[in-house]
Amino acid sequence: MVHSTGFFSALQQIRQLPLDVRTVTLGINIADCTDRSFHKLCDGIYQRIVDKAGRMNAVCSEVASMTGVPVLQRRLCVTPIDRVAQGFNASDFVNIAKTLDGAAANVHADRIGGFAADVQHGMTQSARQLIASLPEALVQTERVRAAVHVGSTENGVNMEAVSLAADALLKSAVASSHRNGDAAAKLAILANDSTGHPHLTGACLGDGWGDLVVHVGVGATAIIRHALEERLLENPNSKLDELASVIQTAVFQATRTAELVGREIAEKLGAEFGSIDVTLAPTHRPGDSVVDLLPLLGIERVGAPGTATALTLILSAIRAGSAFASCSAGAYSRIMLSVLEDTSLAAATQSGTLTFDQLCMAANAGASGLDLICLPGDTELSTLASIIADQVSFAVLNRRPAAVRLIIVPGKQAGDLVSYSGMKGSAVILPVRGAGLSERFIQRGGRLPPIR
Amino acid sequence: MAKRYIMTVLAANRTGILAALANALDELGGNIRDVSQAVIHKFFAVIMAADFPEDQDPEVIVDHIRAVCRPFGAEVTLRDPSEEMGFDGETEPTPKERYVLTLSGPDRPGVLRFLAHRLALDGIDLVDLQGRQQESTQTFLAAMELSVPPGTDALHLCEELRQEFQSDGITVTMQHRRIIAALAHPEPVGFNTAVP
Repeated sequence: MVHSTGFFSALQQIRQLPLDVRTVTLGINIADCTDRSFHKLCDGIYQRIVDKAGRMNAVCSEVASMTGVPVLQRRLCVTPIDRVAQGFNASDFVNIAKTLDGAAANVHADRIGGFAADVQHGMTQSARQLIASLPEALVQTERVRAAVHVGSTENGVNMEAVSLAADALLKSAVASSHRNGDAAAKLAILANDSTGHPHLTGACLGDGWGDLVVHVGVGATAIIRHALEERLLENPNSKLDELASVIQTAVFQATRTAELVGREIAEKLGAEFGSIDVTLAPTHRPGDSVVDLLPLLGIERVGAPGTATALTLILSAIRAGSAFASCSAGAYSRIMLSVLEDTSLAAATQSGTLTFDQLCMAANAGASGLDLICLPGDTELSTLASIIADQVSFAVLNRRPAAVRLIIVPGKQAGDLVSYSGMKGSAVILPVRGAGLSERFIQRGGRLPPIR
Repeated sequence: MAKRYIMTVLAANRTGILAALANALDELGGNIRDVSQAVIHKFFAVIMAADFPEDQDPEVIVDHIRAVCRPFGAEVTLRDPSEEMGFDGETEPTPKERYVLTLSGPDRPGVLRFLAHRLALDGIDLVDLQGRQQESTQTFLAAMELSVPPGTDALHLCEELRQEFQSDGITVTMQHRRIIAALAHPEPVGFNTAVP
């Protein structure tokens, strides 16, 4: 049958793609809220957040319904608190965390980042107090996400800070032992984040951004899986570079959508548009995990030999696809193996096919750091600090950002299953081989010199 | 001064029909302002807005086009827009969002009827519609462009239609025009560049 218009055949190509925007993060500058008076400081921070972000939730919903693209999480981030609040003690910092939590709750944001300290060279008194306040601050708040930046390629790694952060992690876990140590999950230890990577966990508003900026994060897993499945139906013997092109195209589409949605939200909020993060992070929807892409590439089980190569292929395709789609994308792409938030990964660790060592290896190939992994309650400070130091040095050596989020589950042993209602996930506690054998190394303290 | 008319022509689709029509318009001093043409099942149809000299009698216009296009058996209708009342588009100058809605699946009776009623309920204007039955598979594919008043929840509407047609095995997709443009062309998006 002859039909008259090309318009129609073009429309036949339209398929409903599983597009969504995973996160919208509004960065708010609060550097000028600094004040000697504690009450004025807290008041200023609270008012600034409510003023600037008051409309965020409504605007996100409005743009989501207009474009038909759901926005899954709304986040805030502010200027690092260790710089804004100088000269206060640990209990004051706990109250600042509560202020942030209250303000975020007021504007219906899911999370607020910026309760952070940059200690890659040394430690200011306020950074030290902030780290000391972490256990209490994280237990007493719900939405606050904290971060400690311990090292970078240019500056090396501050091993004392690593130890202190590990200590804060342990204490946070103990302080929330009635909830299986979930406060520890809110603390990220970061490396190579000198410019304030806006998409890392607990990220703050880094240097060089304006007063109000909108960053968006895309969940590309579903669209990549969809595209790979379609291609494999057409040609089950596709070569790897062909599949890489398929991933690139899918990521291109996801990035374009995110930019459109992000710029629309930024314009409505009177904010600048910041950056796009195309990260393969899991959601709780079944099949929405990077682990589910591996069988499509031909790796039957995550952790099997070839996993690292497959992750590398995916990561390079993501970077290429997103960089072509938008000038604001590409620099931050990562793969996140968040065990606790990823049902497929959690199942793999539970069945024993994926071990802690393999997760560490994956962190070195495509994935960035260790994310939401549960460790035994008797893990010593030195072991924890060494695990963190290892991840930080991978990142420093490979010149890429990394985040480590570990949960020490008080009173539980390797092999026990723990669930968290807040994170809607459950995972098995992974054993760490060689625990307790690095104590002297950590006790030495000092610094890891910069990588030349 | 020129006077604008809206005209439709339906004729057998044979080579030369558009040439004959253009010839007739030329001889009448007409000027096409907006035109859309389709060919379905060997029939040619065109709807256009055209300006004619003010003193041109509408009956003369119709008779002349009919005469010139006689070999094609053309049916011509001519309407004067100034005599029509209550146009949606012109009485409501509010900007509207454009979406493309597609339906595909087994050919079931009543699908379009339900859809059109549902869209009318929200004041949604169907500005373009194309559809065809694939005889080999007995499936139907329809694509339409919607002009949606501001404030309508597209996510919700799409989900509602999906639920409605799910039992018939009909797939519904709905995308904003700007998203389609963003996915189809690698030009910069979101910089307030106007997408028609």
